[in-house]
Parts: sequence; structure tokens; C-alpha cells
Amino acid sequence: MEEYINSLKKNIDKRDLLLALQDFQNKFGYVDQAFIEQLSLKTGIPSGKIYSIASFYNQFRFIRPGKYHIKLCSGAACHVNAKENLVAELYKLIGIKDRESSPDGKYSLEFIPCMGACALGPVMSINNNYYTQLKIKDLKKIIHDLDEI
Amino acid sequence: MKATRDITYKKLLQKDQYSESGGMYKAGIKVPHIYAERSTCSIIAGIDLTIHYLKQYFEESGDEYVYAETACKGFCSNDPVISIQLPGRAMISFRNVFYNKISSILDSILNNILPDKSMIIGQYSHPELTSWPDVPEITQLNFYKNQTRKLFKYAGFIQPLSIESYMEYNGYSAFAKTITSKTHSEVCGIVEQSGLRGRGGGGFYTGEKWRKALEKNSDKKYFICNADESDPGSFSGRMLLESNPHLLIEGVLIGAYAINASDAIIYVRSTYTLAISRLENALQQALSAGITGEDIFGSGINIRISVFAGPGAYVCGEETALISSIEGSRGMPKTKPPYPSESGLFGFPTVVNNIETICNIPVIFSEGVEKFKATGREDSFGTKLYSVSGRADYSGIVELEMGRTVKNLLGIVRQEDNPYPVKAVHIGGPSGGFIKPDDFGLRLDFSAVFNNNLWFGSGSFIVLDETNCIVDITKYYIDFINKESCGKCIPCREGSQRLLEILTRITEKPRTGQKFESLLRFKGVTQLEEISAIMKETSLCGLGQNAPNTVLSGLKFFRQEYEEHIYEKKCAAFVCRNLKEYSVNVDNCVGCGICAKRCPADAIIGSARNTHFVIQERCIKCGTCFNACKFDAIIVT
Repeated sequence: MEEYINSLKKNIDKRDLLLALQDFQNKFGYVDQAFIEQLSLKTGIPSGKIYSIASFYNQFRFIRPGKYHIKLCSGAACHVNAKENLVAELYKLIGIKDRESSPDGKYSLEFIPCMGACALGPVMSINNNYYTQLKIKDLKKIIHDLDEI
Repeated sequence: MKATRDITYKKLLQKDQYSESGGMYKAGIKVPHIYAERSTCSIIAGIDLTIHYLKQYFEESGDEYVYAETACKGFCSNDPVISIQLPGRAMISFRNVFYNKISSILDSILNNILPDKSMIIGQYSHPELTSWPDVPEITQLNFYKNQTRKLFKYAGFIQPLSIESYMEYNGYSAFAKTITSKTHSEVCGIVEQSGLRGRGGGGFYTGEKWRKALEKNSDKKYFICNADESDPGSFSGRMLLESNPHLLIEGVLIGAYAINASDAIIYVRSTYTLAISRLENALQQALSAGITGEDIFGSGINIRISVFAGPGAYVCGEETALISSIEGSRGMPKTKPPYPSESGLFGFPTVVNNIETICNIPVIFSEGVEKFKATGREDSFGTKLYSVSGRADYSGIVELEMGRTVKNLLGIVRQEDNPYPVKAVHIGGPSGGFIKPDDFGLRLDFSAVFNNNLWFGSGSFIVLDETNCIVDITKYYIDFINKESCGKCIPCREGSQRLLEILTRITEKPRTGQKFESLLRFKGVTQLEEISAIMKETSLCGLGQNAPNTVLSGLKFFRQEYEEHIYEKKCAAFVCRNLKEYSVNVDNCVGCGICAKRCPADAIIGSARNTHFVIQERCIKCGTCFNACKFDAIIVT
């Protein structure tokens, strides 16, 4: 990561701020504080302002994602198909809420606005493996299997 | 470069009509052609694994075959879909082809035997090809028969990764003709005549918007396509991008030409990774074919198109917010005027159009204004895309002529013999509202929808039945608005917070049992209407102004349900968790103790082989006991 930060261009235009943030997140999965501070030096925008811009958007995360990154669709169709019960169950199983990582770094959870498989809701993905028409029973089994690894 | 450009240009001008028999109905094929409908929805359903096994199947048998990737036709509940065309036979499509089914389907179909009926969607007959016996015609299926498909006409036929495939259906010829034979003003005039209205929700006349930007003198102008689409429950924009990215590019090109802009930006939500990769691939192909870029077709016109991956904020669907987002700051709306057509991106005149609006442009230019105006009615012409989900039998994208009724749409997506009646329909996402069954005769066109205080939004259409709670759905949308409100103006920021608090209070039981809590619950409802009215009148942008629509329409049509929540503290649909009460049916309980063992809150007591009891004060309404009991002894009230 340090290498990447050091290899940044000397001057970054204010317009490219979001692009730079996106690029960093695509590489490392989250936006690191060290990066924001460097970005602040190179763009001339105060780091607080960069935080205010980055935190405005849903895409940016500021916590390192866990080994298993769980995305749960919170679109309207999934909600209608009883997503809430899954959220409660998931909290019971791994003890984290939206945009949090578990202390041991194993799990992180994120609610996605809509994944687009509205016909197959509720939908969940763990590291890009998709689970459709998810029931509480299936969820328990999936998390249980991961726990044992 | 110049040579390719001239060849493309000549090729494009030779074509007059959209050819009906391009691409998929190839009469003279020698080996089996296999098409996989690969889109985000089918990837989630598991089509990648099916494709893997399909390729393996042919590798093992050593037979020759042709494989091509198409995109979803909009019938998402059938995913994953595989279509097969054997030499001399009509094309046949299969539904729900999971990885374990592909080899049995191939085994039988390659030997000219039809597999199990339940897996067949239907076939596309063609006069030169032998049809399959007793297989329904896909175009005659209830789902497709009643739709008017224009934007989605070739979805599932066109290969989104190939520009040639789009050109076989006469793609880009409308643009080629427009750019060489019409002036900027004429193009604006055609769109004005067509009466096309913005599909993003506001329903502003597109031609008018373009004319304003064209008339503004400036050395630089921008044309922006808004494909942000962050409404929950709407996915038509993503489907357009994934099934036919070139259609959008053609629309953007005509639009940019019309306002004389040299730069166009397509703003796509960053979570749509497949859509973005297909769009970027399509842009690359268009650039190397000489359709975009510098000096297009030797006319001296430059149109550069770039993609901006929007980092995700619902409010960025508002045009001024979208512009600030591209400028690299917080996506907050600005006061209008000045309108973007006067001073937009970096201060230059800018036109922002919704993706669905832009996809209509090539259709208008290729079929002509007359034919376009033949669909729709009065002040709304053309078609509208609906993303159908919820308690529908067939979910997916439905394209309907403007002015058809809600009943028509329900007829397409619901089976007649569905035992659960529709309680309500919610259209328009967070800014939309409920429609009750008595009003299902409502025409879905701009004037009728606006007169009923509704909102098209980006066309989400959610079917609700008795298992859905109106208050809960309203709470869900207000929660969404509350999270997505940019925080600039007070009515929206604070109003949505208050609305959410009131709705949460209604869906919970009074916790302390003190009298003022019940009072607050009553007061809440009168305040709901008051706050909504203030938000509607004083919010800065469309997000805040339309946010209370769901609350107001819910209160208007389903007041009884609200009252039930408040007075009787009951949720008839058993959705609102905190209003549920779990108790033990004494007759059924055998005293096995499994509920007490599983209960995370130690709220169930009882000794072995004796009836158990739930201590209401401790119960956290998780439902574990209900799922655990094998004797139906736990009852929910």
C-alpha cells in the first residue's frame, strides 16, 4: 500500500478526487487514512473535506474488509421477501451490523442498495459467491460452515 | 483509421429498415448454436457454472458448436436461460438451466428429442425452419404477447459484446443518417415533434431541454446520460446497459450532436460492474469503428464519450447533484435557476437525460416520428419500462405502451389463478406511492399519474399481497430517504428523520407502559400529515418533495391499517416484529422443552413434559421458538 501511495502523481486535480478514491478502494477494498492524508497534500483539499466527500457516497468504506465480505441486498424486493429476519439472524450469528467488520477480521458486512436479482430475493453474496432465495436455515448453515474453516 | 470509418459509414447508409431476421434466426447454420443469456440476474442465479459445464460437455463429446453470449430478455424469474438452435430447426429456449441440468438437456436436444416440458419456455418459429411440435411460441406467451417492446425489442438477440451484432439489426444507421443530413436544429425539432418526455420521473419535454442548450452560445457543451439508478427495486437501466449498450451509445451520439456538444459522459452506478465493463467494451468498439471520437464520418464533428462510475448516492439522480458529483464534490443539489442547460458542468451548458429517455432516441430516428407517436396517448408517447418485483409470479422487465392500465400490467406478471389477492401496488420507488385495488383502472401515463399525486420514478413496480404490511413498506422507504437525504435543506433532512421516528413508534409496542407513550403514538399520525405537507412544499429538490408520497398515499388508502397499528397494536400481516406476541397453545404443547432451550432471551419457562409459558417482558420477538416447535404449539398474535 505504501508503494501505491508513494507512486501517486505529484499534483492531482480536484476533479479527479473521486476517481483516485475509487481506484484506491478497488485495489485495497477500503479507503485508508494514510491515503486520504496524502491525497490532501497532493490536491490541496483539507483531509476533513475529503472525508466529507468520501463519506457522502455509499461506495467508500473506511474499515478494512474481513476475510469473508458479506453483502446483503436491501432492495425493495428483498425487503418484501422478509429480509429483516435475515438481518436479525446474521447479527445473532456474527455480531456485526451494516458497514462493520468483526474484531477478528473474519467477517465484514455491507448492505447493498439493490443487486438486481429482484426475482430471486432475498440475495446475499460472500466474496462474490451468490446465495439466492435465502432462508434462515440456509444462512445458519453457510455461516456455520465458514466458522469451521 | 479513415478507411475503417468510410467502410462503416457506407455499410450503415445502405440499411433502411430494421431487419427482422438479423442475428438469431440464421437459416443456414451447419452446427448447433447455443446462446446463454448472461446478465447480472442470471449470474446470481448461477449461469456461469452452467456455461462451464456446457463447454465441458462439448469438449468431451468433441462435437462442433457455436457459443455466443447474449443478455437477459427481461423474464428474470426464468433465469438462467439457455437457447439452442440446431441446423434446420427453430430456436428453442429453456428456463432454470442450472449446472446439473445442462447435460441432460443437451443429451436429448442434440438427438432431436424434447426434454422435460417444464423446462421449455418456448420457441421462435421461422418459415424456413422446422418448428418443434407442441412447443409454445415465445412471442405468444402471456408475458411477451401483451408488451410493446421497442427498447427491449432485440434484447436477448443482440450480443452485447459485439458491435457487428448491433449493426445486423440496423444499429447506428439512424445516427449515420442524422449526422450527415440533418442540422442540429432539425434534430431538436424531430425530438420536439415526437413529444418525448423524460423518463427519469419529472416528465420534462426532452426536445425543449435540448433546444435551450442548443440556443445557448458557448464554446463547450456537455451531454450527460444519467444511468445512476439507485432506487430500490428498479433495474431497467442496468438491463438496458447489459443487453444492448450500443443502443445507449447511439442515443448519446444523436443527443450530443443535437446540442452541438463535443463531450458526453455516461454516469453509471459503480456497483453495476458488468454493465460498466460491457459499456466500456462497446465504447472501445465504436471508437475503433470510427463512430465516435474525432471527425466522425468525415463531417468534422467530434463527440468523445466517457464513462463515469458514480460512487453511489440516490440524490445524484437529481441533475444538479449529479453534476456536482462529476465535478468531484459532494453530490448535493443546487437551486434552480440557473438550469444546467444554461450553466451546468464546470459552468458550461449541459443536458442531463435519463438512460431510458436516451434509449428512445434511436428508436424515434429509425422508425420515424409518426410511428413513434402511434404508441401512447395524449401527452405521453412511446413506451415505459417497469421493473416488476415483489409478490409477482413473473418478475422482470416489462415494457408497456404509455396509457395502459395497472390492471393490464398485473395481467402480465400475475397468474390468473394466484390464490393470494393483490393488496396494493407500489410504483415509483421511494418517491412513488401506493395504488389500491379499486384504482387499478388507473392509466399509466404522465398526466394520469401526476394527477393522482404519484410518480413514475424510474419505473419500479412492486406487487404487494396480504403478507406485506403497508406501514412497514412505508417505513422502509422513509428509512431509505433518511439515509440518502443529502442534508442540505432542513425540511428533507429533519422531516425524514421525524417521519421515520413516528413510523418506528407506530410499529413498536409502548415499552414503558406510561400513558404519554400512547399519546405520542396518536399524535404521531396527525404529525405525519403535517410534516409531509411541509416537506412537499419546502424541500429543495425532487427527492425531498416526493419523499412523503408513500406516506400520504398509504394514509389515504390504507388508513385502517395505520389505525390497527396504533389502536390495537396489531400488524395483520405479521411483519412488524415488535408488535408480535408469541404465546404457547396449551393444547398442543407436549413439554419437549426445545423452545426453552433455543430461546436466546430465556423468556420461556416450564418443566419437562409440562406446558411451557412465554414471559412477555423478556421476549425479544425473534421467532426462534416458532421455528423450533415441531407441534405448532407456539402461536403468534
